[in-house]
Amino acid sequence: MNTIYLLEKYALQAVVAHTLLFAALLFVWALPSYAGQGSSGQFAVTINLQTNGTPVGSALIAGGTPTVPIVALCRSRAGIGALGSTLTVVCASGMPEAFAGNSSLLRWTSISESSYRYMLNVYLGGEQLGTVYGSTGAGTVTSWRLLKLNNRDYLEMMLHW
Amino acid sequence: MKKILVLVVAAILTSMGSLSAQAGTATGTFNVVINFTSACTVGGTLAPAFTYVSGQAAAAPAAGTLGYTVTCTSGVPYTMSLDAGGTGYTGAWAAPTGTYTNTASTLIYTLTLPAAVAGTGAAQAYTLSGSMAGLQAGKCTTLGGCTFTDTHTLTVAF
Repeated sequence: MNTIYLLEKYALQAVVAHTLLFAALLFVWALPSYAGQGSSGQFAVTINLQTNGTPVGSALIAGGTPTVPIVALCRSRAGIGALGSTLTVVCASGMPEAFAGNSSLLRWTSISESSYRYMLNVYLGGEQLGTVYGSTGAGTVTSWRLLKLNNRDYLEMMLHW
Repeated sequence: MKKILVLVVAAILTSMGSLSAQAGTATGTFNVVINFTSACTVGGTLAPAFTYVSGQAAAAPAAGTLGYTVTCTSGVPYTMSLDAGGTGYTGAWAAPTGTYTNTASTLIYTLTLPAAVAGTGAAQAYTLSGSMAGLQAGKCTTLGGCTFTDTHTLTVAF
């Protein structure tokens, strides 16, 4: 029995350290107003939304070149189908527009407007979880575990085939 | 005869002196009208900033950017309110809280004003509070993050 480890990035909250400067906007108040008129002024509310992703092109994937375009939502090493090999998939969530689709051996399926999933021919408890793609092999999910590292978290899916 | 003349002159002088005393002083009153108009001014630095990661728990704006002052004529009661939406965002104001949605990011947040008291003639310090509900995905097309800005209006009525 051969084992393939599919490492999928689960969250990268600690990776992204964007320092955004907030322009502190001063009140621009009107001159004193008088009875019945009211006094008003404007102020800005700033929202810094971090997408929990990681910059594309980082060294998260060791020993391989991303097989999908640089703007892809998820990247992985080539080599799917090789028995005993290890496959790592790194996803930058929150980038729906950046996903380029099927451009490599890995196949991706859009499950909503803003997220994608990679499906092997995986089985769990005898039930097939994924859609069959010609470029992937059949496997069975045997375990999941969350790896919490210093600067990132991974969800590891172990397949047997 | 000479004696009689002296008496007559003395009588005349006495009479003149009596007339002078009878003129006295005249007094009158008048009003000074003061058209006093109360006024209020608002000042300070107010720049609430939310830092939010998609899907995280509820967040509050960073401290230190939420203070402002109101200076009103002593004794004048006043109220404070926020807008009900503006360019790039929608919202509703229901005192003391406004609920807003940034259109681009789809993120929802609230801003709450403290209760106002009557003016004292001096600057009165207030602190605005805010909250962004948790478990919001938001929308951003830039890797790593996006920054959005909504320009709000605070009104002091008196």
